[in-house]
Amino acid sequence: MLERFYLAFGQGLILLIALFGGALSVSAQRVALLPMADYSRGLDGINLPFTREVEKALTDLGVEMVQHEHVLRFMAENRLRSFSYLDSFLVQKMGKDLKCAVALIGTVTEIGGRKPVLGLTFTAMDTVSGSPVWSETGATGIAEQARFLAIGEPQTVQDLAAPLLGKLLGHLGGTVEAGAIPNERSYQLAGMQLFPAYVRGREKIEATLKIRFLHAEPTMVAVESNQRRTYLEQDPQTGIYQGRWWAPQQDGLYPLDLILEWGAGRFVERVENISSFQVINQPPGLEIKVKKALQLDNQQAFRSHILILPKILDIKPMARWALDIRTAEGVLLTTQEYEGDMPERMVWEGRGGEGYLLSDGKYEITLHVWDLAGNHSSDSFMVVMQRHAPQIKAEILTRQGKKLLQVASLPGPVFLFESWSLELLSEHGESLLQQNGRDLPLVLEFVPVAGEEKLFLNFTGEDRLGNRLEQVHMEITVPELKPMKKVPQVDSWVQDF
Amino acid sequence: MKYLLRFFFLLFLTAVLSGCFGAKQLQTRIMATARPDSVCRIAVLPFDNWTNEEQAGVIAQRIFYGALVNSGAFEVRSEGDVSLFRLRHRLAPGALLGKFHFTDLQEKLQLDAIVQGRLTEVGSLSGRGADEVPVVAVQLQVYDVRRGELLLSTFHHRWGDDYRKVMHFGTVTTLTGLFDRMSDEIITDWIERGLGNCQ
Repeated sequence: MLERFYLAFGQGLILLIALFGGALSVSAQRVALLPMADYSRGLDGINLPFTREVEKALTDLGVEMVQHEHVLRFMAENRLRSFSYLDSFLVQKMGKDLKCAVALIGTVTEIGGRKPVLGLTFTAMDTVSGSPVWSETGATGIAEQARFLAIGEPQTVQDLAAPLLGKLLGHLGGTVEAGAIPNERSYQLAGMQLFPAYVRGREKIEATLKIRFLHAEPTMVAVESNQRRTYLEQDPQTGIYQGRWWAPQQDGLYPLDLILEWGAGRFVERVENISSFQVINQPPGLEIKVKKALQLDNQQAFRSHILILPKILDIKPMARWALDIRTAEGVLLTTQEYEGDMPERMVWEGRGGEGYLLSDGKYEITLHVWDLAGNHSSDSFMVVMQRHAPQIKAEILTRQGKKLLQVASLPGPVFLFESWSLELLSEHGESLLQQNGRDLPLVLEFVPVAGEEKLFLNFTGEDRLGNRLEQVHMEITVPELKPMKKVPQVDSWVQDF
Repeated sequence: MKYLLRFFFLLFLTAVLSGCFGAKQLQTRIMATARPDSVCRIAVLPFDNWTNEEQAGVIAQRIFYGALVNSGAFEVRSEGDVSLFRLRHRLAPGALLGKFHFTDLQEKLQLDAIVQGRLTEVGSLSGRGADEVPVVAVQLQVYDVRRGELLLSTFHHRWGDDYRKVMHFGTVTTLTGLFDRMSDEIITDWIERGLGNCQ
């Protein structure tokens, strides 16, 4: 009986040591707990009620916590929206500003559901090195907590939280095993922007540098390129460093180094290749090839669509490109401008800027391209669009008592019929004339049916682009014969003679 | 009769053992020219999410990052350092890294290797004899940033009831728990292959 008591007491003692042993070692450290991220509330979601529960659990374990309001103020001052961007510099700064040894970040990976579950992951960052040194992940659900006869079974997420937090955070005080990557830099280089980053020779470049220092700020900050140094001035309000200089004349890529100088001792640190700018003086060069167009009489022509294949001769980063459509007389119909690279191929179906089909005619297409340095190239071509076959005019003429059929194309289209066939029918369907040919206008003689005032023409023709015209039963009026002037019959004296 | 009994006993044993040692779900292919034993400093890029679960990629990345830290075998770069690197280079999750990126990772973050991941399946399945169990399939690639080469590629696929012991006991019912177990298995496999050799 006594042995059993000693055994139970011993087990209880071990349990107590296990529960509080970790906490004892943590209690020597001050911990800053960041708001718990909660991915069930979106990518930037945070869970403040749960954060308070974690804080309470840590306090219960004997951990000295940085006040929550101080952590929030630090985040606001350092524009730290989520700890996806909590880098080693900010962790070190947090340690310095909030006087804590550990920054603890936690994430709610799963919460709630039909059968409630709770998933948590914690990572502790050492504020001396700025590196993660401890991490623990745990999850549980109602289904995993099934107990004998369901006695004391958890029912809600809150029931799941307390034991899970105890299990995960109880290990926080354990030995730190993970190695830390030493952060040799005492600054955070948030960004260096050059505007423009692509320039023509002798153009002005402006630089903006966002940099934060853990300790004293340097007395001088400069950027150096091609052995030419430009000192940057700090805006006292924003703390951003700015500077400007003129680009060299020669084409090429110019890498920039950042130079930081501290104090009278002139301690200098150089950060190589922090950014770069490129000088481009030559325009990119542009050539256009047109496919699917027919070459007719030294002109490019189409009836359905053409394929425009632009070719950039000297590949450079492109800023924008534009397309102009003008009439043969030079009237601008539409101009469209786009950012970025020009497409490798474009299809033009003869539509204007608003998507309506343009009328048949001759057009000039011009493509423009600008590189990021602002150099411009353009190329253009003329093209004839003819989507319809020429229209015809037919009439009957009477000359010297003969009936003649005259067929001619109406003016307008550039390309006329290449072949045609016609049949002239009497009013009662009798074929009076059949003919094939290539050129218009034409005049053909036929023998009319006496007394008929109307004739019908069937005409089929195809122009050089393949547009077809079919006129069926085209009515033509037969002009009346002008009555001959009656010559008065004068009795001749000769007969009588 | 005695031989018959032995035969049936052996048959039973074979059946039981073949059930225990099912198909291996973790497959790692290591490059012939790889030098895994020199990898110590490592970082995790956000996982590419090919599933319909919206936040699965970031959750998996954070759990895997925690497991790497927890393993104690690696020196892990903080997530924020990696985020700022991605911001500088405008890299989306799953983006292919070029030579310039590898150089910058080595110079600015002093890394030996980088982990890229892709979640190919995340969800819950029923019909495996239990209530709904979570399922996760993930592919991870480790790049040697000093050489700019792929070092190894791991594919891992697990169901929550893969860990079942007796009745429902042992079954993992949460995606977090399942991915944490899988992360540990992957990292253990990598360590066995020589990674995480921090001298």
